[in-house]
Amino acid sequence: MLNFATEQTVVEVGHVKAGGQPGEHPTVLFGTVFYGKRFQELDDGALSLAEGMMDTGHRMAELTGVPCVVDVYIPSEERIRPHLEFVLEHVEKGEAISVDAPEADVREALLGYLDEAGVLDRCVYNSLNMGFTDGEREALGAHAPAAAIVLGYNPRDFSTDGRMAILEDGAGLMDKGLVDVAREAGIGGLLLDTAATPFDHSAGEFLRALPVFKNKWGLPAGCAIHNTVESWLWMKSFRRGKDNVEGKTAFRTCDAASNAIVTALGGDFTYFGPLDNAPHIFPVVAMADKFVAEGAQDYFGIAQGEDHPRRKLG
Amino acid sequence: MRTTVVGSMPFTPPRQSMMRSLWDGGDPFMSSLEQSVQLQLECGVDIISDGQTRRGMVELFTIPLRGIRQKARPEIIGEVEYPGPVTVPDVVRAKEVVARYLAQEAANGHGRGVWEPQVKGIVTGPFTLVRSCVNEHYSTERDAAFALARVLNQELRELSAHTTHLQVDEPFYSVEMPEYAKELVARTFDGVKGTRWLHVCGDASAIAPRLAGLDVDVLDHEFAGHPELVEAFADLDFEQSLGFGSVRSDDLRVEPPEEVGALLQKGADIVGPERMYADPDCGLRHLTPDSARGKLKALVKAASGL
Repeated sequence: MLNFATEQTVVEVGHVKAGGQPGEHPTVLFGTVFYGKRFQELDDGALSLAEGMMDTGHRMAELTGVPCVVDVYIPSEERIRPHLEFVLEHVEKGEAISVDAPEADVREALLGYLDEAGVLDRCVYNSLNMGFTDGEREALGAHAPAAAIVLGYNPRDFSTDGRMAILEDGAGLMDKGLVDVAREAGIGGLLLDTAATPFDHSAGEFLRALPVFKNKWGLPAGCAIHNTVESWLWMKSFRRGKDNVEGKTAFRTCDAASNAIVTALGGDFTYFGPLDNAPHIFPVVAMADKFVAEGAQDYFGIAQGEDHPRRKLG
Repeated sequence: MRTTVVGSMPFTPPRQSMMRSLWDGGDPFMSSLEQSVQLQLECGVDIISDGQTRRGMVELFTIPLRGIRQKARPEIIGEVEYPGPVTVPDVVRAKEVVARYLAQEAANGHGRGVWEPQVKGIVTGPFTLVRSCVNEHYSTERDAAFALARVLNQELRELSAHTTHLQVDEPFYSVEMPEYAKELVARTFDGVKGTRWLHVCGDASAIAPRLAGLDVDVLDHEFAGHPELVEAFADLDFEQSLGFGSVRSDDLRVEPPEEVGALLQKGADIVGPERMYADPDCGLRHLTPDSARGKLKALVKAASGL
């Protein structure tokens, strides 16, 4: 098992703890709600689906001991209030949520809303990346969330060093690294994302970067490895067809297993895609957490609490 | 007298569009390639580049080539292997931009008659690459250089299907030209059909006699930044044409056409205008777009007078 010489920070947001030495805390799983064609119209069917997805995530977290964080996808300014109000009604008071808006202007407005709603202190901002605007940077300073995913995506250099450079000094694309940008904005909890890239775009490097990032910064590290599996060209072809059971089974298996690779390499969190995939993701990650925890205790003396999957799923 | 560029242009895509490429799988460097090609065409350059905006000249090859891993300096850790075309797709895209531009110009009644801009293919030379890497695999630097030459030869062969102008950049030769340079250049260009260019920036006056002995068609150097090169070549008996760097690539000042013309005349006095290509001293990556535009326009105007 891996163990790091650098002191490892545990980031606490709401109900979750991410980071520390491998085996100390279970992997934190972020599952997305409100993403995709199913939510194009926000009708009763869509809301019912969203509620069901969150129930599934909560149930799997309770069952396995692997923490679940609802990642709220927000495609436009108009969807900020309805998406967040709905989610906040269906999570526990004080429960951490993650917010994900691809457009900078939406992110700026979103931060203001989160402040107004009084939930910045349990919010994970997904993500601070090289595409940030001046307006976004100002908004982060004015409405700093408790934690942020800081994304090490470097379009010029997909190597581990290239991904590190984006976080450390801006890699020649920005005047400073994203870690400094986040800290200057007053964001206390940083979760470093090694930036999952497709196969044939140095996919091995974002995995290799997991222990490298943890060793360098002593901060939680993870990624959205689901995106690599989702964009895998062979798998897209293999799983095509509504009635293709074999193909769909292969995809679900690979999707679940990919998250376990992150845990095995010392990762602290993953974004696993749609929240309704939780039933096939959580048990696999819980199993990986058990392996890592057992090894961490046997060799490094790191003990786990009663809610850890190692204890819960004996 | 025909005009060309050495390679790089001063464009970078907006950060936001580079970020979006992670999510939508698009190529964020298409915009900087198009801007680069557009600028060269608007200035009337005859042999253009794709702008080399994707990466620096070393990383452009050390990242995709197998057997090299990226660290603070790239490290050669295994047999260097060719992964398939590296710069070819951008040359193809640049040619598409040229075709669209010419069609648009013709439609607007601005066709320039027989002007047929071409896109050149450019690779970083094996000696420059080996000197930019830490060699952890090959027994000697020479072995590593020839392994890289073999791979770059494959890229040049691929490029030659799309262009007749093929350039190898060896800036390190002005620092140290290895005793095996002649063989290395020959190996790099082995079997490659087309006009073969060797670009060496910096002060190449001391190695001018050795450069003249290389089997290439065009020797391309920084005559604006190193005027001593004029004398070095004036004293030499050589068969190649000259890529005559006649505007500075390290200075934002836009030289007036008369100044550029006076320098070009010095080259014409050595080899005659028919054996010259007018170009900037080196890549224009470090300039501003406005400065690059001004310099290229001055260059084209000056060259047209010779």
